[in-house]
Amino acid sequence: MRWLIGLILLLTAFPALADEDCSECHIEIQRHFAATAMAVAARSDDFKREWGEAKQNPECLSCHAPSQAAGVVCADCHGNGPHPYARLKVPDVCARCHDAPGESTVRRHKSSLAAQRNLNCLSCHVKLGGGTHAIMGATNTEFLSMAARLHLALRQENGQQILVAAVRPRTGHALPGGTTGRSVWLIVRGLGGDKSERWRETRRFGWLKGPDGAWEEATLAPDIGVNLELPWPGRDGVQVIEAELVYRFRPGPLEEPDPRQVTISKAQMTLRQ
Amino acid sequence: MSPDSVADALVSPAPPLILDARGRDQYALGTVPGAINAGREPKGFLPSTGSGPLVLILKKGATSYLKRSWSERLSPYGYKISILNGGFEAWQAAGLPVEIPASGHIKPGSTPFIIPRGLCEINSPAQVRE
Ligand code: HEC
Ligand code: HEC
Ligand code: HEC
Ligand code: HEC
Ligand code: HEC
Repeated sequence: MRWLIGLILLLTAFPALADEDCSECHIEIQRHFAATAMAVAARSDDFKREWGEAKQNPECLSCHAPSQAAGVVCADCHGNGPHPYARLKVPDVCARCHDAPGESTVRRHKSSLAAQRNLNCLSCHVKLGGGTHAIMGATNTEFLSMAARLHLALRQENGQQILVAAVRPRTGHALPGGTTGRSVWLIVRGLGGDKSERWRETRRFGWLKGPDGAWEEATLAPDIGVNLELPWPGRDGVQVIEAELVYRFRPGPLEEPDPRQVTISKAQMTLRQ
Repeated sequence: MSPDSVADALVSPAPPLILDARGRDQYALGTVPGAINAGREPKGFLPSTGSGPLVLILKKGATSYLKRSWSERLSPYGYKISILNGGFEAWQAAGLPVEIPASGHIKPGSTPFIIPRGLCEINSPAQVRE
């Protein structure tokens, strides 16, 4: 018990430095971090709306604004100083908020080929020339476009033709990464000579909620992704196969409009006559 | 290409497409993560028009005739073709990760699962870690 009292005394004797105190000296870092989504995680319109719907559940702030600020602040990662600060370990420092039910980013990262080849969160997520704190995510379209590649292939097996639509995530964690609010859709279409659609296959990847309310992860595994195999693609006079991979900032059905949705990869194939 | 350089290429900005041409049985026992089962017959195979690198996994002791047939089959589609040196055995020997292929996708409407409504719904307690 005595150490706890000592700790409390220590903390009150050196009150936690406010964010502004860091920017005086760490000007660049402050500027870079202030421009990230994390810095305003408790102030975005989406958050305010959803937080309202959740009756302002204080648990939301344990990730979105643990220090009751506009979002994530220096102390949420570095701790309450003073200097010298302990060196942070990536990705462990991110796990506090990026691993939870409905969020597996750090866990999945650890089993990825990227982690094995010594890449970490910052190797991909920091803007070029942005030091260590210019962290960007899916809302950056150029960054998002490297999230996965889509390929089509046709093989012969026991006299039968099998179409493979292969998605290869390059995310260093599951695709979509982050929380339950994103989804990725694979759409494969068979077209006739007149370009009319003869058949269509659709798959969704993302988080699902089971009947007992528990989260179920149905995302694309890092590196592995999925090989969707479709037998007899040439049926109904199909001559051309078109496929696309769509990233959505909405978890719900494809019919629900999402003005920010992005097609991250496309593939096309002409079947032989 | 050596297994190590293939692994590095896979996490680079321009990752290769990996084709496993050893046949279904060997593919099912384990392959390079993300590889496509291309079947064993170059003649029966067709890729989407593409670009960029492509790495072939051939069965042990593949003849130069087989290598050439695959090259001839694939090059018209715009790929830059290499062969995984030492095949899948060398990949395993290098201690690199192996995928046991299985299908894990969800067809909407085919499961009793509910798509979440919110952008970030949580279960309490949050922050449960393994
Ligand atoms: C999301 C977590 C996070 C937040 C928030 C954060 N940092 Fe950092 N910071 C890190 C990590 C991780 C490193 C270590 C980078 C490395 O060594 O790979 C770091 C390193 C640093 C360094 C050492 C120099 C450098 O660039 O590596 C300074 C100084 C620093 N941070 C200051 C700040 C300041 C000031 C703020 C608030 C504006 C802040 N950090 C907010 C994660 C964070
Ligand atoms: C009076 C200027 C000043 C202020 C204010 C300041 N720092 Fe620093 N900080 C430095 C200097 C100088 C260094 C060492 C050089 C470097 O790494 O940039 C440093 C280094 C760091 C480091 C690297 C690890 C270490 O301790 O050497 C971190 C992390 C850091 N500061 C975080 C913060 C945070 C968080 C705040 C606000 C709570 C803050 N600093 C406020 C001057 C300052
Ligand atoms: C204190 C909790 C917390 C910590 C620690 C944390 N994050 Fe975040 N992070 C968040 C929240 C909350 C968001 C959602 C922000 C939003 O979109 O409103 C987020 C969003 C992100 C995004 C998406 C940004 C975008 O522009 O879409 C990335 C990438 C990210 N974090 C990476 C990291 C990395 C890397 C670390 C560790 C160095 C880390 N985070 C540590 C809470 C945290
Ligand atoms: C190999 C590159 C790479 C590595 C390594 C990586 N990411 Fe990502 N990450 C991406 C890409 C590309 C996306 C965009 C597609 C998506 O949402 O999955 C993304 C998405 C995210 C998102 C969702 C962003 C949003 O706006 O919805 C979060 C959060 C995130 N990453 C955090 C992390 C954390 C934390 C780590 C380390 C544990 C990490 N990432 C490692 C490439 C990477
Ligand atoms: C375990 C940490 C954690 C908790 C608890 C949490 N969030 Fe999040 N939230 C995140 C992370 C990390 C992201 C960013 C990942 C991504 O972009 O997919 C995020 C993203 C969001 C977004 C999307 C922002 C955007 O730009 O699209 C909203 C809205 C949101 N959270 C609301 C909430 C609400 C409301 C609660 C409480 C019911 C909550 N969050 C609880 C970690 C958390």
